[in-house]
Amino acid sequence: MMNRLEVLRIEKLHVRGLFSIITSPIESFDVMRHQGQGSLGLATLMYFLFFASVVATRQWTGYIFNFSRVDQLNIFIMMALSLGLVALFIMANMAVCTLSDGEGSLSDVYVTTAYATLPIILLTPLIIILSNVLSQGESMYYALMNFVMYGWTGVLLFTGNMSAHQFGFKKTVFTTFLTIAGILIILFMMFLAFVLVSELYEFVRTLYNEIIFM
Amino acid sequence: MKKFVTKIILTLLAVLLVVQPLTAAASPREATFNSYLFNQHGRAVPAPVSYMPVLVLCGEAMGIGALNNPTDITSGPEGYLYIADPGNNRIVVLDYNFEVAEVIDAFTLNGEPFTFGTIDGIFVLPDGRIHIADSILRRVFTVDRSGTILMELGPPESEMLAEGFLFTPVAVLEDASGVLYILSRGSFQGALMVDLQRDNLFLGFFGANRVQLSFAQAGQMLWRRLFTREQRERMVQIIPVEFTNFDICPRGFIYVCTAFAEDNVDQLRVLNSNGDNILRTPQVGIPVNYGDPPSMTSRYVTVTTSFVDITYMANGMFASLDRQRGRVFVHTSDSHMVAQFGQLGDQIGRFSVPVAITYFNNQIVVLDAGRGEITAFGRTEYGEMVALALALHEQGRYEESVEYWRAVLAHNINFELAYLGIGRGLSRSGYLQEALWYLRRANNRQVYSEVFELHRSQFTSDNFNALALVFLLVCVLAIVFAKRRYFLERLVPRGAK
Repeated sequence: MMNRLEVLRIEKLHVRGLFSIITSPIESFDVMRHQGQGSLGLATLMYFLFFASVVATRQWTGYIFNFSRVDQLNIFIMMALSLGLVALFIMANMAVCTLSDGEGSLSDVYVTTAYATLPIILLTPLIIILSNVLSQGESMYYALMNFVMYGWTGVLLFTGNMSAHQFGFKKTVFTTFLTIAGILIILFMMFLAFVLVSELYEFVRTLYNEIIFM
Repeated sequence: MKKFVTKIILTLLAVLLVVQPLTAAASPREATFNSYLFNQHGRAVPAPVSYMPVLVLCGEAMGIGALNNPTDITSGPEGYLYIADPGNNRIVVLDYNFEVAEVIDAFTLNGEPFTFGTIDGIFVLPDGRIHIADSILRRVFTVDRSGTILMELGPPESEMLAEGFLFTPVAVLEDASGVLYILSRGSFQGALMVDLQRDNLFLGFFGANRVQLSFAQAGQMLWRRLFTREQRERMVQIIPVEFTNFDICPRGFIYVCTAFAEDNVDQLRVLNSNGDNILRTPQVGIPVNYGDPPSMTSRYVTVTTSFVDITYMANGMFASLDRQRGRVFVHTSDSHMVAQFGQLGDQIGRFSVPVAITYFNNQIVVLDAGRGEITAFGRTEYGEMVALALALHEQGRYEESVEYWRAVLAHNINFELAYLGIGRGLSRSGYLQEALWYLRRANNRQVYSEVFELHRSQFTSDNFNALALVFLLVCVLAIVFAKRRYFLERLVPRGAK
């Protein structure tokens, strides 16, 4: 049992590896892959912090920039939109890249995707503070910071995926598009399954109603 | 002793609070409709009743026989109310007590008795003359108080009018400079402007609606590009909808309403002499919806708000009448909805076919063509309070309006405009922190942001020393952290490790 949990341990080496992706993402991801600097424990912690940043953004962004409705607060929907989307990405990406001879294992994709959320975790506090001191006229700085955050995350996601599967640039672009298509297909399947199950439920319910009044 | 007295007073107050609503409910003047306002998310939230029916009057009660299909109602100078009654070929004039002052029914043209085809719209001039729009005879007439027709205006002759233009006047008004605005049914180009001072010269069209594209129409536009000229000519043209009625305010702005629109935006407009819409919205650049949002009935028919008449009230307020649901909406010059009343139905305060509305003697009078009667709505205590607060607000006397808005809030805690008024007043008086609290509840991010900027600069100048200290500390800490190895080696003795 202890051996199983060993992979979740976070060491100083892992943290240093994480922060080295700020300065040199491609190199660090490769080093991480070959020297085992990635840690499932750290990755899980990152996902937790990522979700915390999403919640913090919704709750603490200043009024001028915060359009979320208090009466529609639902933690499960937020979870589905952040962590659920990440899970979808990982699943679709694994499915697509396994077929196109990617070398990455599930844990590789899990770790690199987690590390790619680093800009969100680092910049969210800054953006929240900014949103509380800026006025509407200065909203472009706020938009710029957001753009930097999401752009950087996108770049990290891309490079992380590239090194996880040991793909070239072109192939990663290709698989990224396929991954997006895969996400849509999975969503469609889920919708279909939901409709089918609700039809089945409706059928059983009608049958039950018929029988009890017979 | 003192405690005892306070106790008695408190008990009395509590009893009063409990009893008051009960007596109000038992009074016969209970509203027969639900009153509501829309909140920031467009949901209807119950609100106190601002206007209550105070009088229902039919022709028999006036003592002049039933009104036969009345079409228009308007308030003229010197406190008279005019009702167009084409079924009886007459115009009924009521005084401020709603007693018949005059019945103009003996119309003469060149000395001979005259009967109008119909009277669709009337407009009373300051000197008492009346403009009459007649859509059957296709004429605009001007009569004096004795019924003598002074002027007869046919379709204007101009190259600007398309061939086959049908002159069907349904509403008419005249501005201070003697320009006659005639609303012709089916004229999507807007109202016709005729200069009475310059020999009835046709000046052009005024205030056309912009074209509103629905999804289907947008698709048509796409097809239009691919079609040949012959095919294109066979297609239906996409034209803006005509507006249904208008009114002019003392300052010369023309209030215009449109019956059908793809969206509810721009259904009510205030036009300056140039034809530009000068009706503000609470936040610049963010359009608002007027009237009720479209609703689906059980038979899958969408009911949209269909404005048939509009009237200027006072202090920037104007009332508009929705024929579809029989509702009257009162808006401010900032497009804030401040009151709503009326409904279709048979009780007092409800209408069968509401066709016209006017503001008369601090009351809103609605003309019901179906039953041939008028209903006058007077302000309740709450409505009066809103009007008082709004009067000060409209003049920019925000500080003075604060206490009135507070009184309004005591009645209606969901009233966003009241929060806005208090917020503006407090920020003028310098209470920025409190103002922000209110502006946040007003849900007006633009005004909030303006006050926030003031608050921010005041805060930084007040706490400059502390802020500078924090900044310095952060800088020092950052340097220490960046050079931590250096500091550790120098400052911590080797043996200590």
